Amino acid sequence: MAQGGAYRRPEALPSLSTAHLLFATEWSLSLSLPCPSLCFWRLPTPPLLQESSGLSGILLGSTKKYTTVYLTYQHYPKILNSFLSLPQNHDQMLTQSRLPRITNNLLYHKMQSTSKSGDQKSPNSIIKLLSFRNLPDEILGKILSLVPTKVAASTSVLSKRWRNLLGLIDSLCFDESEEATSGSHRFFDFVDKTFALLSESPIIKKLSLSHIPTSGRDDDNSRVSRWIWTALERGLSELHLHATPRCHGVYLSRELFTSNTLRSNRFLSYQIGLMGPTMVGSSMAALSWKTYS
Amino acid sequence: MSESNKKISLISSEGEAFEVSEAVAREFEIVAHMLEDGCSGSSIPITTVDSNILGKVIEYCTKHVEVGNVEGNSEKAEKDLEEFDKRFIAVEMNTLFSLILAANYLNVKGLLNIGCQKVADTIKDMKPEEVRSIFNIENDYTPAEEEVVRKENEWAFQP
Repeated sequence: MAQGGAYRRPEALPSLSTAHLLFATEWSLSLSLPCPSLCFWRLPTPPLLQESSGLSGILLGSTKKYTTVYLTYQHYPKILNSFLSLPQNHDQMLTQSRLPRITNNLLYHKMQSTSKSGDQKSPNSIIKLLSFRNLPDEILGKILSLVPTKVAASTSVLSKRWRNLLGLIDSLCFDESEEATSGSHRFFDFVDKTFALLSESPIIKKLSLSHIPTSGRDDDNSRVSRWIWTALERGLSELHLHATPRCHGVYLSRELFTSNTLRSNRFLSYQIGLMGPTMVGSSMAALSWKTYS
Repeated sequence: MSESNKKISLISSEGEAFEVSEAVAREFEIVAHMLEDGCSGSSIPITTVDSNILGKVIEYCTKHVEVGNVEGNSEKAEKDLEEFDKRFIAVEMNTLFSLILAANYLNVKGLLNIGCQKVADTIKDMKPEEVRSIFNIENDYTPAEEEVVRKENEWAFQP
């Protein structure tokens, strides 16, 4: 049995034709290999890991069946080369700006050639294997931005990967349904928590708040203000506020719309409640208003 | 001869060539970039997209280029295009995912948008278990971990 020092490809190693490309960005590539992590360790990567100060650039996760390999720009041309025995000049290609796309092609070509030499799978089925149901995180984030945030949050139970996807959404849509009248605290807590989760997210494009179960207390008002404030700071371009008979109105502080950072917005008025639509933001692409009638 | 009459061959993963006008090929942003970078070849390999999906993406782009070229009567054209998009994207899940991946790879924004919207509309009213099955997700939580996640987002799991 080959031990750590010998970087011989072990027999148990699956060929890359069975790898799932999880996602690729401009600077990284994530592959899932159907093998336990031990298998991966016998790949010619340990020297590289040492070279790059431990594991910092590469995250290795594994379940019983799969090993996930996360390769950054800095590392993966080398690793791929050792994996795939690519000719050195491919390094050049890999440093170009359209890195992931080119890499996809390289992977594909390599798989195509592996498949010719013995593997029964046709190139076509390999491509399906690569892509099938493996939408990259950025696309899943986009999809989750298109569903009510409540639904997006409920997908966190799907798997560990999905738990982190909520942090990628750029549109928030909160709607406290009419029936759940008891849950105002939970609603507020949920929105707070979602904003906390998005603290790393650079952009919030759209915020929609419907049927906010406010009690009219200052505390509630300031929390709503804080949400809108946070969203504005992240480049909000669309704000939807829908009032309801249960809602005592939300009074947002003037500072929210007159602060220096937001001066360009020039909000004309800041009162939100059942009194009517009086809020105008010139730099917003859309502002919708619905009052109960 | 005007540039828009120039033909370009897009080669699918199976090696099948699809001849399209340059205007249609430019709808693929990745191709547009290649052309701008001075890639003058008249055939471009699209190695990660198979013939079936590439054909569909070309159909989508062709329609959108055609409608974009018609002047006047924009309201009707827009409505037609909306109808076309709706019919175009009404495909089974696996095809839908392949279309999204291809649109992402080729950088066809319109198609990517309607594809994601379609998936969003589909999963909106689904139970987590159903979503898990359409995305083929392996649940890697222990029951205890899953319980913690449910607690964390309690509000989201209310009916």
